[in-house]
Amino acid sequence: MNRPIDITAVLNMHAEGVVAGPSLVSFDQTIETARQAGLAVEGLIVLDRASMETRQQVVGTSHKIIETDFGDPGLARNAAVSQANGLFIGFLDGDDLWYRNWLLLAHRFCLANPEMTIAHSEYNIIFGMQRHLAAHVDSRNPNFYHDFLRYNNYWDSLSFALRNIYIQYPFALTDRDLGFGHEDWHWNCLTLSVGIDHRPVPGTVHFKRRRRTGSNLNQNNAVNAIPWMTSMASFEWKMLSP
Amino acid sequence: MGLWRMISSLRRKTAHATCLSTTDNRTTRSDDLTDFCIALRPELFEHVTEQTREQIRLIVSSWEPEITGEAKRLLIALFEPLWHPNALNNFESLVRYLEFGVTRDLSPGPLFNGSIYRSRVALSELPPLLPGESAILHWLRYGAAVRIVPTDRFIDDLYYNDYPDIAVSGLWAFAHFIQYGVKEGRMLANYKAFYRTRNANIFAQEDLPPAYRVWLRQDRPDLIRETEEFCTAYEYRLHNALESGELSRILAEIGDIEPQVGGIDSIQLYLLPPLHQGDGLPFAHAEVQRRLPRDHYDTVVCVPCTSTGSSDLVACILTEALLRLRPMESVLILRVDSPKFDPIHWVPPAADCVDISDLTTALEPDVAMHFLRLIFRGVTARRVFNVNSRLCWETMRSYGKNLSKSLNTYAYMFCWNETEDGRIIGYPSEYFADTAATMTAFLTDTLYLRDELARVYRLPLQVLERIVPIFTPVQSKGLVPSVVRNAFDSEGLGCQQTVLWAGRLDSQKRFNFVQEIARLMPDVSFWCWCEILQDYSLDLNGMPDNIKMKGNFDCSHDLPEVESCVWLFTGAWQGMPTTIIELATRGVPVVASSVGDASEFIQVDSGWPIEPDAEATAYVKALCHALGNPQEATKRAERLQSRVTGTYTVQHYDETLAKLISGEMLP
Repeated sequence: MNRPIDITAVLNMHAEGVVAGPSLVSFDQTIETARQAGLAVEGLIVLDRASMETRQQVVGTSHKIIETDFGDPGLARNAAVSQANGLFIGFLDGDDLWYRNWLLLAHRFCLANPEMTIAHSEYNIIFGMQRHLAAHVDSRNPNFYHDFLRYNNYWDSLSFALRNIYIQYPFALTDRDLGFGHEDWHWNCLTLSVGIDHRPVPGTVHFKRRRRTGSNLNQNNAVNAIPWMTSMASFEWKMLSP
Repeated sequence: MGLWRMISSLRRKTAHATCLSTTDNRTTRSDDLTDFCIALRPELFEHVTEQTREQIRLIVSSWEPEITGEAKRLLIALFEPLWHPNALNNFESLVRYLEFGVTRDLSPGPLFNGSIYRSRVALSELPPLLPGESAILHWLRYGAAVRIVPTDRFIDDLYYNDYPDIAVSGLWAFAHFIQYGVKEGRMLANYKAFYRTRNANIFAQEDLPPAYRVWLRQDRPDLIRETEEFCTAYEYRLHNALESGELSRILAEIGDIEPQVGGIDSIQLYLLPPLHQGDGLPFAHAEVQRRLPRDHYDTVVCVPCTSTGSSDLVACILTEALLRLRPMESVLILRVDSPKFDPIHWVPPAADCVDISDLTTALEPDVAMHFLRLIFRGVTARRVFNVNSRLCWETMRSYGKNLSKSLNTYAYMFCWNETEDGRIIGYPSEYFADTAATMTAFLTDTLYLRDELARVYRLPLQVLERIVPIFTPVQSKGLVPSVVRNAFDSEGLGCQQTVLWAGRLDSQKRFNFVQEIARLMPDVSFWCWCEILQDYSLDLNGMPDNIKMKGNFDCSHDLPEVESCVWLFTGAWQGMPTTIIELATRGVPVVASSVGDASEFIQVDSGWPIEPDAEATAYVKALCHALGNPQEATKRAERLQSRVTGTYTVQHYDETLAKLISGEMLP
């Protein structure tokens, strides 16, 4: 009888080209670190309208690959969720990097209260066109300021949580023509509004590449996209007590 | 401005004079020293009085002569009142410390550690500390002069390394940091501050330098304020990650995978949301919630401001109708563009009226539009009506598609304006085309404008159907007896002849033309109610003596008790002259330029219509006819009264509006 999978590690790729190389290395290292600690981890790569250069990057990988034709990061992630066997899922984007302790520490962290926790890195180090460090805040902090989510995003898309959470609250379509985007921001609002905490895992760092053009973030920002309405957007919404 | 920032400028002024001084500081007079201390730490000397000054002078003078002026200054710089919290105020805290704390070996602040100092003295050639001797006194006597850093929280070489200007200056790094560097925003390598914008005081009120926040958390966690806790907790954690080398190790390891990541030194900015949001939204967003009496409104009516203008009257009539049609629903009148506020009486008491113009004008235009969008989402409005707010028009134009997914959007369009060379300008020409595809419907107060838009844009039926003429109901019932009949019955007609006029002093209303007419009728009084626009220059010198200038006009109150009067309308182009409609209900004879919708109801049987391009003499002739023929004036005025009261009714208005909002698809 096969051992249940603890974690499905998902790498979302589309047109990253060669920068997907380091991401794939960090993906492998992080999975390996978790496995060495005794966790059962499966890797899953999603090629969503992937460019030829990106396809070439994954030649020879041992991870399962699925192909999608959404051209949409949220829908691609949902496709990954539908294929995932792990109790937990962790997402990585094809131009970003995990530090190798991520899956192991995030898994430990979430086990304390799995149904109500979405894990994020403690820090994101932004490199490329910008260079800065951004701390992820804890929605459990007594001074957490939820209003901010109405006009900005606290947490990025490289989240880690129970697969069931991703099934229950799938990512929304990005529709820039209508001015709706930032699927991660929307998902954060959606999940927080039902009482699921977003929490940084101490000692973890993600590395996020900022490109000059072409990224989803840039395209969303160019049209001042805003998340689809959630109950959090309302002034009537109040944070649930922890 | 925070205290720290305030004193930093003072400190900078004295920095070079002190640090680069080669004079013998032992000769510093206590008066100078007191002044210097006050300049260095003004937050310690708030409300300095002569008595205060004398108190400091006495304490400083009483110190042992071998403590130099420079050492005394360093002590003042080291002193941090937050570490001595039991005094009434900063000054008392300092005085207590100087009087008792120094001799009792208490630390003045986070950058003096007696144990560390003792261990460093033991390794030096300085006189050893005797048992029970105050470490701070010893440092003031000997240690400071030979540049012993009395703490492990600061390393001279790291500071020199980070700040080469200090390294080459020959200044003592520690002395520079505590006196000037910290106020100049110079950070220590392992104490990174999260970037804070001007607005950050919404989230964290204490304006302490970053390293001091970490030290306060280490030394006196009980004193961390709740609002500051959010920030200091994250900064403390970051400090630990930096000091332990944890982050550097991770970066070095990742550098082997992706060299572009760079080292820890390459990180230029440390961000902690929401402290870094610098576009003014956090304050505006928090403030608007504070101002709104409710969290939810079914309808938002955006107006530029509240004044006695026609559009503001229309906005209030609309609000009243919405409250009549949907009594269980709530309406918010949002004053968006300008703080102008005339205390008008027609704002329905059941509606909330909130001014956000100070918030919107403080934001960049793009941010202001986004802000308005956030408000619409925040109050979960079902519909928004724009009644002449430019920002709302801009928002509808930029985010029309986006907004149309969550609320119904309506815009009132009144007449468009014309430039002197006849070019059409104004909101309908600026915004209609760009918003036609996404707006739920447009409202016009005339048939004329709808027909003009249809003609200009060759509108298909699907669009034309969404332009809804809705006639503004008159505010008063037909007056019986009418003004003109009342005057006629009292045999007043023909006694004192008065021409009434009201309008903005702009090119549309043509006040110059009124003056020209008045000059041709020197025996007739002209009473003119004027709204002066700031962006319109008008020379009122040489105004004829028979013109009496009044203030803003409120048609329901301001009609004078004159014996014989005719209303004069000189508008140069189309638009529904709401004032005329109101006056018509009272039975006032009207002489009007035949433009736009005025021509729809001012006809030869109901008034004196004048061709749009007619000269002043044509108006004079009509005015003389009206004033000189009371029976005809009565007949025409009462016919106009009948026509207006039958058309511009609340019932018609409500029916049109009810049909409009009952067809809403969202939400």
